[in-house]
Amino acid sequence: MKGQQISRSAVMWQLLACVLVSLPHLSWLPAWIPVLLMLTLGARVMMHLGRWSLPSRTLKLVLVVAATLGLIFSFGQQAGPETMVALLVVSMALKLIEIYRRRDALVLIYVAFFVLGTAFLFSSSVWTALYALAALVVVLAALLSIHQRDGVSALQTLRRVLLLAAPALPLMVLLFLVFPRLEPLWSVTLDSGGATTGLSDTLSPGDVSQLAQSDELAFRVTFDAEPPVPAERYWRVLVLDRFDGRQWSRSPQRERLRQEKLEPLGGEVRYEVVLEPSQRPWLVALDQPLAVPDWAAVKPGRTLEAREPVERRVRYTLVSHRRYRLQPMLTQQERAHYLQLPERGNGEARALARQWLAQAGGDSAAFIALMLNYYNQSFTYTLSPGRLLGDRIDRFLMESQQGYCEHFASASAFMLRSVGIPARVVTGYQGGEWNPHQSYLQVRQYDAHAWVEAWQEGRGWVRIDPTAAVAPERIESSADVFLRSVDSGQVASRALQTGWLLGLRQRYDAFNFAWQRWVLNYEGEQEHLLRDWLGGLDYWRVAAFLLLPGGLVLVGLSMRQWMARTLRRGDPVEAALIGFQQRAGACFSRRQPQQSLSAWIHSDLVPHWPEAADELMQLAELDNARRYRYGAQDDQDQAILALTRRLAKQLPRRTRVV
Amino acid sequence: MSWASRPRFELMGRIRRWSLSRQSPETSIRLTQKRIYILPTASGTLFLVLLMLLLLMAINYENNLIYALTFLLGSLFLVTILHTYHNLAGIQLTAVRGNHCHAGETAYFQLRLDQQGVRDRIRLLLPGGSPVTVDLVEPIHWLELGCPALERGWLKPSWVRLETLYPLGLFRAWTWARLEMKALVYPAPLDSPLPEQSESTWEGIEQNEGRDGTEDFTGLERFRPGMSPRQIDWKSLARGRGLYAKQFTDYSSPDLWLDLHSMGGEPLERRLSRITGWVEQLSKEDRRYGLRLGATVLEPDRGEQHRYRVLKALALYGLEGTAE
Repeated sequence: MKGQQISRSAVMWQLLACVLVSLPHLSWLPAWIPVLLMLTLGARVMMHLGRWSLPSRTLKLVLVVAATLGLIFSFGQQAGPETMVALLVVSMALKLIEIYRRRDALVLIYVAFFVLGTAFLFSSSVWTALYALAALVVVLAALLSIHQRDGVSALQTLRRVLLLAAPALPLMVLLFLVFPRLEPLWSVTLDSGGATTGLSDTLSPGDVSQLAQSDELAFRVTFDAEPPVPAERYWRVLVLDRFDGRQWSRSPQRERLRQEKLEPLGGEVRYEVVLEPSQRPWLVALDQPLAVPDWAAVKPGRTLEAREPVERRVRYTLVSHRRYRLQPMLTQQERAHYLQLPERGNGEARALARQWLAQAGGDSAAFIALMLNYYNQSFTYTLSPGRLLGDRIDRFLMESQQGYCEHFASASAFMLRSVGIPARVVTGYQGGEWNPHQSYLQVRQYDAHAWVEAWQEGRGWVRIDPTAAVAPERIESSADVFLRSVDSGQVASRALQTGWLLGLRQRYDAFNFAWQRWVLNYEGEQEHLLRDWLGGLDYWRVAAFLLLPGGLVLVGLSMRQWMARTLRRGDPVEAALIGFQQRAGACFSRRQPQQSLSAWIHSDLVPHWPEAADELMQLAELDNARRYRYGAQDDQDQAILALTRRLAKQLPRRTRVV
Repeated sequence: MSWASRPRFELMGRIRRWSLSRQSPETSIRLTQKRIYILPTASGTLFLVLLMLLLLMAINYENNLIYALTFLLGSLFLVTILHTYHNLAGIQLTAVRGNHCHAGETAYFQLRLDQQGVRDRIRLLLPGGSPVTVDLVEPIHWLELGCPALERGWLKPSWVRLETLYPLGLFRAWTWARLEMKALVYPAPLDSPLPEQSESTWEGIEQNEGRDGTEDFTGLERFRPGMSPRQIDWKSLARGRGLYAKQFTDYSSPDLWLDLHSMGGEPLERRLSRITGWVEQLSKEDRRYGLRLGATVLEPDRGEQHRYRVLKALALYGLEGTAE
């Protein structure tokens, strides 16, 4: 059976399946691979039309060698999913030209299934999923076409696939809901496409506003008790202590600083963080964590860092205190470290700071109040502040007076340092979206934020958020809600505020959010959801949840099939012939079992019913033709139906005469 | 046969014997779940390997969409079991007749297959025969299955195997039906010159007078089944008068007796084959011949029915339990 040649329509299905599963990858594959696919596809179509003959062994060998060299040239030593997909697509393209037997087609289709799956490594949008579903139908049609009879139309084949796959859908949903999501067996990295967005260890203008455009999930938090109010949701990630005139970064010397001393003062919060993979070792924590997990360490600046980059989702529990005193005393060395500034530059900012310090009478708290007041008077908070040249902090403070959190944080830390107040920039996340249904806080990349910590005598490091002075709404509501209300030409989609368009946009957002939450990040919901639905996660509950509806689907399907094969399908022609035999038999003589219909007509009917002889002979001939299958079946069926009807009408007149 | 398929082959034989021992031979059989077996094919097993790979990819990349694809294909795998089973279940198979043949040829058996519902491709197979593929579209199919006839006597294939891979080739559903079929297998004919005319093999010419012969045309008679097709008057058939047979009277051709026991020391089977060859030659020439097989004596005659009687006697000579 393996040697069987596949039908011509099956070949077309194979070609179509190959093209459809390769399409999602064409955008990033090296250009020669799509070209190769087009060529082999064209060649196979030419063979299909009978213009070309099947390729010779030498030609196939040359193609394989060339493609192998091409792959080595394009991907070299790289062993990632890209290389794997490229290899699969190339082998599929090469296999295309020689599909002829069922075995070849099977190889092709199985590779196609796999390539279809890899599409999700590069995109996971709803559209990709819908496209993949359509492509899957075609691949299944290709598989069906090599096992079904010839001459089934394409539409009919698709219909068969849909009928076949329909009962599999509910079973898939059940498995999807219940199947435990396992930890990866070995670590894998995705180089392209999946480049993760997240905080970097430097801060220059534009970094955070970049993140503001990504709605990718950063982490989720569940609290043991009530969550802190939005204004207290400061998630610290990094402390940047070095400024080079352009950007803030982490100095190498910071490793030599001593561990900072924390005095908790109450406001204890216990929570669990589920951090999405970031490919970086940094962990998020609410101000200010006490103990840390044993696979992480507290760094100077009291930020948390894992020993290895976070390459997959991690879960950890922390206890934080919202009121605390951090590092009440600074050594000379530490003081100098947090006062570092470039020798020159931003003279106007320095002058402004000196003027305020004089105004405040040297008091750092009063200085900070003056600074925040200054921001509050004339500054705007925007995602599109425009480009700044030269002394950026001067330009920002004096001229543009509009910026995003990183501008404010950078300028504030600079001015604090310039007048001798130790200061540092902190980056992290602020706020998050509270999900009242599932009681957790969801923090996305657009919640990324930068603020300042200044050291004050006796109070230690104190958080100062200039953004809160400019745009308090940003701190009190979620970044998403805030950004929607701010004029932001850069985030054009969010600026669509008017009428139905906004409604549509919000609906689409909500749909995407649901897709992300319930499908792409289902593992985060799974336990909760199942516990909710089943009232527990005992084995018997899960098994019953899987088996009851699943069994119902299978039983329903077998019932349907059983009905289909037990209910007799009436053949109208057969019925017409039987009816005719009964009526004619009553008039003349019944057909004996050993007589064929035509023999009976010839010997018993024609001699006694000469008027209808022509029609009777015609009927006999048609019946023979139908039974022994020659001629066009449909025409015969129609003719038999017409004849039996005509004869039946003549029959009663004839009986009366006899 | 490869090293791997040998044990599988034996296991199949064992399952088949067990399955057949649960059935009694019938002329008509409806296939039900009691008889239908279903197992993944090689490509079905490969499909499972593919699913494992996809699952591995889903786990390692923590990709829920790949999980979903894997589960969809897995569910499809399960659902296919029902579809494959449905393609065979409910088929009614009836043995119609077996065509007689000579040993060494293929005996063909006619079967009638009744079915309702929507089905597709199945294959049927008799032991040792080559499979026949049937696309089930009509409610009734007439099939002819071959089975190699190795020895003379009654050929009763112990089973007919039906199998299907539809719809996706992931599973093979099959059954062995124990149908009551039989075909008479004549000895293999051996070409050799006709025996010498001798006292013992020839009867007197006078006795032949007035008998049907082949030499002189005497008139036409309505064709009856059993007459040699060589006698058909094709001209009258062509004129539309129906089937008539030309009548001849034979005066010269004497009766030929074929006697197993006067043939010298060749082995029995070889002698039977030789006689069979003669019978075929004589009936082709439409000559009269008689047969002596020990106690069985068939008076000289000609025609299809006579040939059948003679060949049947030859086929069943000396075989136990051949009473019909």
